Amino acid sequence: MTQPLLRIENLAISIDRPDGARQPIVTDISLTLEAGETLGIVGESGSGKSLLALAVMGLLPPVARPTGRILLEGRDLLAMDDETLCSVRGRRVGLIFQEPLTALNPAMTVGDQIAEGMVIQDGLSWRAARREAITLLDRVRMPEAARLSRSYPHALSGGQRQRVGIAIALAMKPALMIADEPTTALDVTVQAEVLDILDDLTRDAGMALILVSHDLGVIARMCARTLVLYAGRRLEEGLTRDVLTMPLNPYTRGLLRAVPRRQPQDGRLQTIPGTVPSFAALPPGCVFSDRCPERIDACHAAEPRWTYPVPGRGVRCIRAPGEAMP
Amino acid sequence: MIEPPLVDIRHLSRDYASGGLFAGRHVTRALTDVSMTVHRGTIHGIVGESGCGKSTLARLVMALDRPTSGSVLFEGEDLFGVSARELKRKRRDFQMVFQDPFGSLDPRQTVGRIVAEPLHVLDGKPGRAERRDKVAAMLEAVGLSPDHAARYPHAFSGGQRQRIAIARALITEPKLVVADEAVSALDLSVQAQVLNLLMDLRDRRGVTVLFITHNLAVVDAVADRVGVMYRGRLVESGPAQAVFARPLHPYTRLLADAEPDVTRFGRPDRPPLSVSAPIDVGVGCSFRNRCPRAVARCATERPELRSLGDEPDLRDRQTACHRAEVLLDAETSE
Repeated sequence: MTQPLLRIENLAISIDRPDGARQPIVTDISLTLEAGETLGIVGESGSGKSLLALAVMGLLPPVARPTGRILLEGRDLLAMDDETLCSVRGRRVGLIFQEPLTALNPAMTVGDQIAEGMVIQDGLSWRAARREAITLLDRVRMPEAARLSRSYPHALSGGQRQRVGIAIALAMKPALMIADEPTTALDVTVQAEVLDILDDLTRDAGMALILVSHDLGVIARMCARTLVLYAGRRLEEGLTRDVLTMPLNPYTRGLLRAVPRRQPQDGRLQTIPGTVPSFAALPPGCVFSDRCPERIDACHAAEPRWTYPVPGRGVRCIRAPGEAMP
Repeated sequence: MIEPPLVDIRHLSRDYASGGLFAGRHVTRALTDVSMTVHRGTIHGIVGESGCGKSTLARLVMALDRPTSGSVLFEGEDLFGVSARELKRKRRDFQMVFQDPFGSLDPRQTVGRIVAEPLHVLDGKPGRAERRDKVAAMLEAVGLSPDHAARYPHAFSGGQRQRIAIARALITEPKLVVADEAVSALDLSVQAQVLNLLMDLRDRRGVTVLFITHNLAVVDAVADRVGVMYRGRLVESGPAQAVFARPLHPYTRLLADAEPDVTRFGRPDRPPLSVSAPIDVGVGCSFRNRCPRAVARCATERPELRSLGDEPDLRDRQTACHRAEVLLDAETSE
């Protein structure tokens, strides 16, 4: 049996609170990702999506206590010592950040920032690594790559900085790329270019992509599969087209209805009442039950199980079709 | 006599000088000859990419900055022609809501004080009891509760903070609210709540909103009219729904096509966006290097904002494109 690129089994992450108590954040995450696959993770702030991305990167802060397994090419990231982890991340997993300006070193040319990893990890000479950096900048369609590789981040536009961020992540030829809101800070036309670049990389280089975004349009454009997170739980998973056209969970339906779109005259947008609860104050039973328009009494009784009503399609809701109604 | 429009922007330009230490000084023109009218009780959207001058326009309309040339008439009076004293008095009539609901509220002040703050600069400063009543009424108007006034900003979520910022902007009962990317930092489910609030305030209180954003879908959902800006110029204007349904400027078309949509799956079937060569924006159309429909004339002659005719779906619309008729024919035959 071949091994998937990434397999997450029963991952849970809690955080040590200042008062000594443990606060569970991410609960019961399992997923697999094959080489070349694209997975979208949808979640609003407070959904635990960024903590999940950090866990896959092996970059959890010391206060985070993970349990379960994160198998990258068969090796458990959570069981590795720091030294082994250090060679795996960066080499096998690349990360693209939301804010390209704060993610770059302002006092180093962008070419050297791309080259740095290749010098340290691959033992390339600076001269060879800088040459390689220009090739990478070319690959992310940076105009005048050779000249711009000698410039500093402040001299670049937002779209150019994000291209540099992608080039840095690409330098190690990662098997898996994690992009955390990579285009949120960019204009729509620049966003389209950056998404095209990521799309080419997954097609041509067989790189797997996990794209974290709150923008359902970006997910529809980029990802074959989608996972919907809320309050640290998965509420729904499946092929993107299925999830966005036939959502099984009321939260996904609510998100889709809240997408701004042309309204009839004087029409109002549909909203999800209330706000995302804090992890310390989750409602009893289903975590979405206090905001759910379709809740019944049984929703407060116990947290719904994760079920597969259709093969390849997961949902956490007692009212989803295929689930026994009480 | 006809009542003047609430805001009449006339031939507004703003230059910024930069450089001087290492490089030679040079002047950047952030806004060039922008004219538009904002009518009472409407939501007027301004869209464009970063650097298009939309925030410069907001600062000028708020009289936070002076134009290099041109004027902003507020209820028929030039904001830059009145005395400082007069301007201060006028400020109660226009307020601003900023993008970042975390950075724009002082964390050490109670919500009650934050919301009441604009009242302190008014001439007839209301007394303590009256201030408290006004704050309570305003918090209710934006969907918060009066007892939230005693709490501090950290106790509120992003959407609630933006409501607090809106309450602060509305407390002087302004005629105009300038919202600069006011919903961009909010989660989807909360964004819709704040957009509905703006529409309610327009319908119930007759508030006029100048709504500045890079998000076309948001403007399409809430705005009555829209102006599309590119490189400091207004390139298209008209009723929001008509503009997005049938753009009369290739740039508007480009923006609409680039916007991700939850009903379009996979990579769109379009040619890759070309990397544009730099051009001299001093002559001709400043969009010509990215324009699929550019012709020789576009490089030599500046397109002025013009109307395309009096037919029902073209009335009230303007575009700054030599090729608008060609674009219109192509759209119609599609």
